[in-house]
Amino acid sequence: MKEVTVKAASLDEALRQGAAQLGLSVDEVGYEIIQEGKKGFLTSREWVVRIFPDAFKLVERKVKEIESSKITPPSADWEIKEEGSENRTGVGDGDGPELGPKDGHVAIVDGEVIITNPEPGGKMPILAPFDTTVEVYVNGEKIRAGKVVKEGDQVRLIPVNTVPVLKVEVEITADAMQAFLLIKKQTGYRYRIPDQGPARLLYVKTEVESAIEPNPPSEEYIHSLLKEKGVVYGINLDTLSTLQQLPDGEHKILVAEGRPPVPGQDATIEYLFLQRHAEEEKNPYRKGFSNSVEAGTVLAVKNPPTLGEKGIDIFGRTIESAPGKDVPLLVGEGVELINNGTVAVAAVDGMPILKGRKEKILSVVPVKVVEGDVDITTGNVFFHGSILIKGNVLDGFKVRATGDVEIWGSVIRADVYADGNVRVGKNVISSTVQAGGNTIVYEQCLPLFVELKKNIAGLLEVAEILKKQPAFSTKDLEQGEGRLVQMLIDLKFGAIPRLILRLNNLFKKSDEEILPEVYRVMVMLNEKLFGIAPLRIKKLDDLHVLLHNLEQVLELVHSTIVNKKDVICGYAQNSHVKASGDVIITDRGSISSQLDAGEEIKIEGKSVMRGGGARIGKKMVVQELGSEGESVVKIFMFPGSTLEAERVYPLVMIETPADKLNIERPGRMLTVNVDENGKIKAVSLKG
Amino acid sequence: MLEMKVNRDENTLTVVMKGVLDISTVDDFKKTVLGLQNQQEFQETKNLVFDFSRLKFIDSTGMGALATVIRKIGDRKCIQVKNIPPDIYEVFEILGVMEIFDNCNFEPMSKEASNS
Repeated sequence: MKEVTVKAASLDEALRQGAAQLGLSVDEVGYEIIQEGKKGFLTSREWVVRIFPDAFKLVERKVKEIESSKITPPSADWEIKEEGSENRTGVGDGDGPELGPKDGHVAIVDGEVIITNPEPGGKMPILAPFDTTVEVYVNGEKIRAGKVVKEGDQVRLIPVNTVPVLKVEVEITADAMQAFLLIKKQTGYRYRIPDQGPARLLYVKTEVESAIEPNPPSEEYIHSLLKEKGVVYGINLDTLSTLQQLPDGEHKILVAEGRPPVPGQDATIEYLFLQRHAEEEKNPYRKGFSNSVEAGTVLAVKNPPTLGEKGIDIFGRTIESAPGKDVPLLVGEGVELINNGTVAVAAVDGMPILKGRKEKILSVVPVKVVEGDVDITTGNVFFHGSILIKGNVLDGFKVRATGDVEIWGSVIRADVYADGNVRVGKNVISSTVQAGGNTIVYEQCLPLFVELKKNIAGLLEVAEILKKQPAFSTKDLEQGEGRLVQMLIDLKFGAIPRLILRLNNLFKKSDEEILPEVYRVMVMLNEKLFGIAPLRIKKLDDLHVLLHNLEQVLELVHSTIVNKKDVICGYAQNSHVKASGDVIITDRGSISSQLDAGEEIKIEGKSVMRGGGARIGKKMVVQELGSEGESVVKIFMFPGSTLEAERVYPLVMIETPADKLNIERPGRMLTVNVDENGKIKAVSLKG
Repeated sequence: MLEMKVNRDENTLTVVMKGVLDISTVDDFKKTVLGLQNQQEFQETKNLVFDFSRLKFIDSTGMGALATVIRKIGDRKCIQVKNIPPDIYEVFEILGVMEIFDNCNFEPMSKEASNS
């Protein structure tokens, strides 16, 4: 059908133009608004309107023409009523013009068209197809719009049936793991022409006599399609039975699927002695101690890596699976490997320990047992391994162990240090007890070392690239490459001296001993890269050596931090108790003692801290902090730490790297949180 | 050897450099450029341009001297280093000079000029 699309400033204007282009009048066209126009102050938008002849109105016009010219002269009842011009779409029985008493009419009965001519003064009957499901022939001519008919016309009505369609194609995914059927389905329909009319204007309608489902493709056909594409594996046509129920449209159905490969499992190592350890941890008094083993005990078992399962794609090709990685079971002193290196067994009596960060090394350290007190009869006890003391450690004697120390009695005016955990069954009085290294200071310096390493490595890299540049003269470096280093620090790596300065300050402030390896590297850094020192560097190799040392120190510092060790004792008085992990007081609290913990300080039992103080790495929980007797308690809190006290008294002084808080009156439920920058960020206290 | 010529054009003082900027010439370079500060021309102009078109190479001492000069004068003058030969420009890029002195303008020599 002819139609035009018109742009205009208003709808009326668009209709006028469109109708003119079609050679019709405005009331003979229908329209559809594609874009509504808008009138604005600065901008305006045109109307875009699709305009087409209105079939119904056209028929009316034809009728007018025919009737006025041939059959009857215009009469009083000529005018056709305009009924509901807005909803003209559902034209059909009863929608047409009213059937006047003298009008001709047309009806369909049993598929036959029965035409009745009008009486004089009446109007001619008109016949038209309602839609494309029927073809209407009048005297052998197919009509598309309304046609005036009269008795004696040869009218033939032919329902137009649609054919069922089913198209099937095979689609295969790029990874050859899936094949789909792409199905396009369209149901066919058989129509019949029901009885209708009589009406003066009859639109011939049809109704569905039957729906014709397309024949589903046979399994053989689909198999042949798949075969054509080379699909041989993982075919499953179970879903085909549902084809019959598919609605019309396009569908995608999975018909073949490959099996993906299953990657192998990496080898894993189970440290059996650690598992027993975990069970014991439920009892805090046993935490981490004396898990000694006898020679012959199985300490660890390796589950070897598996190969995984090969996969197969829909073309039947094998897909290799990635085998799991092997992880070596590494052992040190006191441990033997059996069964092809998959089982580790203690070779000596002692305590199993696991050391190392990336690669864990299992060893068994011997345990020395002191049956009574450590005193004038035993002298100081230094032991490479762990020590069990069944009595006390007394008056000025020292105990040192590279493993754990367990003391069943008390430590009185003595000094105990262990690289491992320390457990004192009774009291610590006027003594120093330390477990693990100085993790607090190392935690602070670790990020600085990491940054320094990055900068030095960067400087060396840039130096090497520069030396190769044709426009960069290296003549001045003959007297020493220090000039180049100095220039690079000056221009690009100014962070290096700044980081060294911060490290210097950190170690200066810390009253603790630092590891000799760390000390050595700090000396090197100051001698080579601080102040005007770089100018004195002869060869860049010096810096490579420094970098290598720095990397080793990093590893060491890291393992010190990871290696958290605890001190547990019943009671601390006039003592200094330090642990890289937790300090746990189980019985009668801390009196005039200094407790330092890289992690948590837990005061259980009669939970009090009177006098002395604490340095809190992560957290401290206590019931009574300070006392009515006004004893001074100095608490130092590291960034990110928390303090919880149920009752707090005046003269408790809390300090952080960047903040201070003094408790001036008694209170309950004190909570203090320190943020990452060392600022006290939240305090709650009930008066 | 380093020859330096100072030209004035309205608001701009241009130092044309010919030769090498290395340990043997840095003292001259510093003396000449820092010496400009006391001259009337320096007070009267806004821009200071170094023309590197005839500079052959630079070394770490020269690089350090250039940095010193820029740091000393850069906050009072709009400094531009122009016609930087490709080889030297590459050195500048490796050192990240453009990022470090982002208040100055570094312009590589145009392609045609560098070919001729």
